[in-house]
This record gives sequence, structure tokens and C-alpha cells, in this order.
Amino acid sequence: MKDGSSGKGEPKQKALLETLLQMTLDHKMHERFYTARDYQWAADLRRHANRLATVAERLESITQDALDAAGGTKSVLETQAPLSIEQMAMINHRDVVPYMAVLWYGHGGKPPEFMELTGELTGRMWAMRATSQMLLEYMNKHFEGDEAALIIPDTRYLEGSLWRMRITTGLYKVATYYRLAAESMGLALKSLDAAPLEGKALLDADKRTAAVEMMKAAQAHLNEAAAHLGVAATELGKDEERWQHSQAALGGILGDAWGVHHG
Amino acid sequence: MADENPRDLFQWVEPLSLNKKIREALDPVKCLGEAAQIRIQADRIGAAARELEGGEKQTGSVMPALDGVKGTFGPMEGDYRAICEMLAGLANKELAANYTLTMPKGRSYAEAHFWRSRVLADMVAASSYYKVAAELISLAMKTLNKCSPSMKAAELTLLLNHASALLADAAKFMGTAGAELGDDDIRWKNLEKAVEEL
Repeated sequence: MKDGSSGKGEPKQKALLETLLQMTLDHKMHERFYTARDYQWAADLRRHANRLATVAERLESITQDALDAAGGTKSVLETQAPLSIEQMAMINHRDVVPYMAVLWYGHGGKPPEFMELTGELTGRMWAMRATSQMLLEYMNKHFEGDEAALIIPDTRYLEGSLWRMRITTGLYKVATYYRLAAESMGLALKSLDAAPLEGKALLDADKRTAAVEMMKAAQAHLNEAAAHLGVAATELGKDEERWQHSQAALGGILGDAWGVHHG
Repeated sequence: MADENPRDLFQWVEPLSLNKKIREALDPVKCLGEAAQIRIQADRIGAAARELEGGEKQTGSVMPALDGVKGTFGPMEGDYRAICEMLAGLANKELAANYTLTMPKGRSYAEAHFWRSRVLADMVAASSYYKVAAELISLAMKTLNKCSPSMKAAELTLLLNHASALLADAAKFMGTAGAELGDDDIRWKNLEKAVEEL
């Protein structure tokens, strides 16, 4: 068995060790950020899903007869207001507007909050897709690399090998769940695309029903996305311990030259 | 695509739901059973390491048992890689359509799309668990291949413990797959029902 004073291996092995240590030192910090970020985004997704559900349930509770009967006074701010003041009061959920912001105006258009929502989802979906693809490519490089190079009967090398493998398999799972979150976000966006969300459309029973159903569909996909991202964040959060072990093992082999004690 | 029938996106559901090979790969009983099998082998290797360390066994007496272990895991690794590719290939082909699909309005398509997405997500996730389990088994076998009768007991102990830890991780991932696939059968049934109603 090699003892603690054994050399730092062949050049190829040394390059592998230094690569792993660089990853350890940099990515440990990166993942601290992303674990919290992913939990935050998962919470945001769930919150958006709840907003859509609240709006959909409000619209669902309105009967066509009641809406037709409410077509009285129109806002003086509109030249040809499609919605009456009373109709706006029916479709807007005044008690929860301070918390979810979606508010239909008398002009009959789509509340800008939906644009904000779809814009945010689109950006995050593409970020998830790109990150997933990049991570999967890197993890495959690790799997296809000279993974047996660290399999020598020395505790430090074997510890390095074990924690390297745990990081790689953990990140493969993270990347997979990022991808699943992106797919669900994509379907939520497609569902919202199909929802007639203009205020004037909500006066029509069929269109209002379609808006309700497609918002509920988007809600379901967003809840799925939140669950996938929560799984990813939980797995990513476990990496902190893996990086610590990896750093200790690799630092034990490469020594202080890498400043591993300050990582 | 605007000109296509939105129902076409669900043409794969019936043939795949009847495909025994695919349904078996997504069977929680299979995944959990294999997790148990891998874990039992991991524990056996770990026990052998402890016996070597305690002087109850000699290096030469451990080696023949390792050949049996390798004989079990070689085909399992190949099986997992094939399943991973099969599931990923099918799921990726279907998910690629998500980029261009136009979601039809209405509850029936919304329902069908929701269950389609859950079934495909199961396939993607299961594929990843088979993949990482195969990689862990591969490295465990490479570790066992480095074991030699000429090694000192302490050296062999380290390698056996390493292989045991890697296999225990593989068992954990297969167990996770089994737990996550627990409702897969219900999802397929809901998807089939939703597609029938389109």
C-alpha cells in the first residue's frame, strides 16, 4: 500500500488530479449559489402556478347570465370600453390583486402581468435547457474519461475516485431534472399561448372556459416544473459535502501548492 | 405544426404501453428488486473486506468469489446501458415535438398533454438512473479487476471497500428509480384514458 508520502503520480494522472481539484475549488462555490437559486426558482414557479389557479378559479365562478346582466356603466377613460365597471369587478379578484397583481383594465386587453410571466418563464426555460445540456456533456466526458486512473490501493486516491464519482453521478441527476423542469416550463408556455386572456374575450362563455382550462393546464405544468427543480436543488445541495470530501482527498495528494486549505 | 392533426402526437402511446420491454424497464418492482440485489452484493464485498482486515480470511480465499460477482455485474451493466439508450431514444424523439407543437384549446388535450409529459418525464428520469447505475457498476468492476492474489491484505481491503461503496451508490440510484416509478402504471393508464377521449 502506498503511504502518505507517495509521489503525485504520472503526468497524466497529475493532470487528472489537478483538473479535479480546479473543478472542486471553483464549482463548490458555483453550486452554493445555484442550490439557493434553484430553490428560489422552484418557489417562483409554484407561486406563478398558484397565481394562475387563483385567476382561473375566479373566472370559473362567474356565470354568463351574471356577466351579461352586469354590462352597465362603462369607464369614462375608455372611448369604446368593452368591459363595464361591474364586469371588471367580477373578473378581477380584488382581495388578492395585491399579492398576485393580475388585473384586467376596462380597455379589454391582456394584463401585462401575463407578458411578464411568459417572459420570465421563457428566459428561465432556455437557461435550464442550456445548463442541462452543458452539464450532461461534461458528465459524459467524466464517465468516458480515464476513470480507473485513480483506482490504486491508496486511501487518498480511492477517496478522490469515490467522491469524484459521487459528484459526477449527482450532477448527472441534477442535469436530468433541469431538463425535465425546462420541458414542463415549455408546456406551461404553450398552454398559456392557447389561453384567450384579453379582457374582452372573457365576456364570451366559450373563450372564458378556454382561458380557465388553459390556465389550469399551465398551472399543472408549472407545479411539475417546480417539483423537478426542487429535486435538482436538493441533489445539488448534497454536493457541498461531496466537494468537501473531494477537496480533502485531492489536497492530500497534491499538497498545499494549490491553496486547497483556502478553498 | 398547424397543418398536422394534434392527435398524431399521441400515436406512440398505444404501441409503447403494450411494449413489454419498455414497461418492464419502467417497472418499480424490477428497479427495487435490482437495487436489493446490487446492495446485497455490495454488502458481501464489504463483509469480505472486513474479514480480510480482521485476519479471518486470506487474500487467496477472497479472489475466487470476486469472479462470481463480476459474472453477475457484467451482463447487468450491459443491460442497463441498453435500457438507458432505449428509454432516452424514445423519450427524446417525442419531446423534440414539444418545440413546435401548438397546444389545442380545451380540457381534453390539456389532460392528454399533462399525462404525456408525466410519462415521458418518467422515461427520461429512469433512463438517467439506469445510466448512472451502469457507470457506477462499471467503475466497481474496474476496481475489482485491479484486485490480485499477490496484493497485501490491506491493499485488497481498500479496493474491496471502494467497489462496495460504488455498488451501494448504484443500488441507491436504482432504489430511487423504483420509488419514483411507483405511480408509473397509473400515469400510463391516465394517459391511455386521456388519449381515448381526444
